[in-house]
Amino acid sequence: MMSENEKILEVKNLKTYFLTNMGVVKAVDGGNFYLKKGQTLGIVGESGSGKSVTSLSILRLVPKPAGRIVDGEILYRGDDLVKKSQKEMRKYRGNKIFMISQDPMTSLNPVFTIGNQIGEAIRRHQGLSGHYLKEKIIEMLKAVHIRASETRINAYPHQFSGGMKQRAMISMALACRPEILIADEPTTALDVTIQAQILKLMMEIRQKYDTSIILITHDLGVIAKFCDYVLVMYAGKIVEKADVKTLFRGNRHPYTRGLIKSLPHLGRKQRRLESIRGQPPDLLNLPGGCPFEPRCDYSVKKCTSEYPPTESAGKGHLISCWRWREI
Amino acid sequence: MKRETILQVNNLKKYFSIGKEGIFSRNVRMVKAVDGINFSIFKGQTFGLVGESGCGKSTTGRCILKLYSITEGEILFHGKNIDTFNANETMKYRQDVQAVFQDPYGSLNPRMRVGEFIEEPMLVHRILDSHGRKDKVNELLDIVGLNADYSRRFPHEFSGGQRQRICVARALSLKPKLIILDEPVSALDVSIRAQILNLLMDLQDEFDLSYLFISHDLSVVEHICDFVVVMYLGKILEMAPCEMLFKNPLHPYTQALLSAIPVPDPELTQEPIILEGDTSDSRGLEKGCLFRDRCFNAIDECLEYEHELIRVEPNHLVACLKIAQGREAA
Repeated sequence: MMSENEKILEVKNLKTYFLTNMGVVKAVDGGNFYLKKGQTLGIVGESGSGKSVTSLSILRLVPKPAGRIVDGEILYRGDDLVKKSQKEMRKYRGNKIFMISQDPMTSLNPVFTIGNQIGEAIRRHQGLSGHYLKEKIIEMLKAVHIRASETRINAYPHQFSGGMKQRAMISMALACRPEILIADEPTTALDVTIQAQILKLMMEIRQKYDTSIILITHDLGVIAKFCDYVLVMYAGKIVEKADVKTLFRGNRHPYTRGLIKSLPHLGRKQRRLESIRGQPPDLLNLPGGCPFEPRCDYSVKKCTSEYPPTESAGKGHLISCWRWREI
Repeated sequence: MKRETILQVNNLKKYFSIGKEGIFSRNVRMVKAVDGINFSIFKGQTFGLVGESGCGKSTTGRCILKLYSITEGEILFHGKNIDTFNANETMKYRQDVQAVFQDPYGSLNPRMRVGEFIEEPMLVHRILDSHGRKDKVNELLDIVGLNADYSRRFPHEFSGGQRQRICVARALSLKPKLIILDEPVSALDVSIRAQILNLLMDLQDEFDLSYLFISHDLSVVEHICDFVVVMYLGKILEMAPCEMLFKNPLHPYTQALLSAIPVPDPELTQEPIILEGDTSDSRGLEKGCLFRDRCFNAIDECLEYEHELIRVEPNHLVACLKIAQGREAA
């Protein structure tokens, strides 16, 4: 029981800023959350909300020189990853924390065969070679249901379809047996039927290896199906945190509510969709106070001047909004 | 009351050559992007075309826009074949049929002011004088919910949703009758998507437009469309009025497609039908049902099945051998 509640990753007050010619972009501005063993944490938000930068920060892969982690701690089993050198980080990347990105084409090297690339991960982290290595690669490809894996290991990425490339990435993750799998929009570039395959595969892995997963997506449907606990991000801030049921049934932040209401529901045809008015925020020019204020139907004077504190509305349910009690 | 047919597509085929079989071979290999499809769009209707990547839905849209020359078949606009149009008629046709594409970043010229961009079609078609056009641009910006002052700005100053509004304004500038919407909201964020869908529906009521709505997102299609066609590798597998299709999908592919949409409700634990493989597995099959290798209902006879849409209800057509057999037995 103890191990189930173990926090394997804890992010405290993370601030990742990009210093650009036009000003400072606060891509992540004070992120606090943790990930328990075996948990699936969803991060949802629109483009520019800072969800991808959060994951890059955890792996210390924030693009340089503009981006840097200016404050905060990222504790992996108590070790602060922010303080590690890039050389030390290599022991964590892939081996302990693995990342699957949105576009599998950019994460696979086009000039090496699939087998070679999966093999590299195994060689580095498990020290296998020769015949054993090859068998292991084939086994890994079989585990992600790639047919004819004996011949497929000699194929190049361009010979794989989008879904197969994403499978190859997952097999790489499997080979490394990471404790944390970060999936950044893993199915956004894929067709619906392929998305269903990939999500099922990830569920299998989660069950089999008890991997903790951070799933980043803009698709609330995927969140509802797959995650236990969800962070909602807006303009670099985490505006609401809740377990998945509370998020859909008892959300209290106007942004979360607006997002959920703006989805067309299958089988419930309505003439008009409720939309959130206005435009996404300009990160270079954020209003003082709450960044969602210009689009919010509940805004009061206080919202324009001061960012609301994070308050608890129940077990594990945290909100940053001045008026959440009335919503 | 019989509704007026605005566009009719008869046995449309579009093949692309992908090189010869060998250096000395005369045979050219073809990809059958669209392979014999039939449908009609009525006035005021929103006609949905859905399917996965590579199913030919965008190619169909481009054929209708005369961006591709078609391999076989015909497209009739108000009963006249668009291939036999003379120069004047083609000009008129290009006014009547407009398009909005998926990527609002790619479809705007970064060096053109928004006003010029919206004005351009009127300039080409010699509509109104300079003053009239300027007024029209302001009016159009107002219609799509943008400030008239924005006409002096450049595209980079706008967000994705605003750019899509600009594209819609341009499409409206020539008072079209039919707009081809090719994944118009796929690149947009969820909160903005709802705004654009609402806008499109309002415009349809106001200007009596017909839409051909091309999308892979079935929840959006259900929301906006009146009639839906499901395509797979260039062929139509099922077509029905929207409500009927979503309530009672008959083709195994449609069923799988519908079940695979993740529903944003954590308490709904309906398991999706997981299909094996992907569309590339079925490319190049010469005979039989194209979907048979991925189908959970496939039987041996599917190998020999001649693709044919069977009418199961007055408006509901489906191409599946098992359904055909079931009906014969009944």
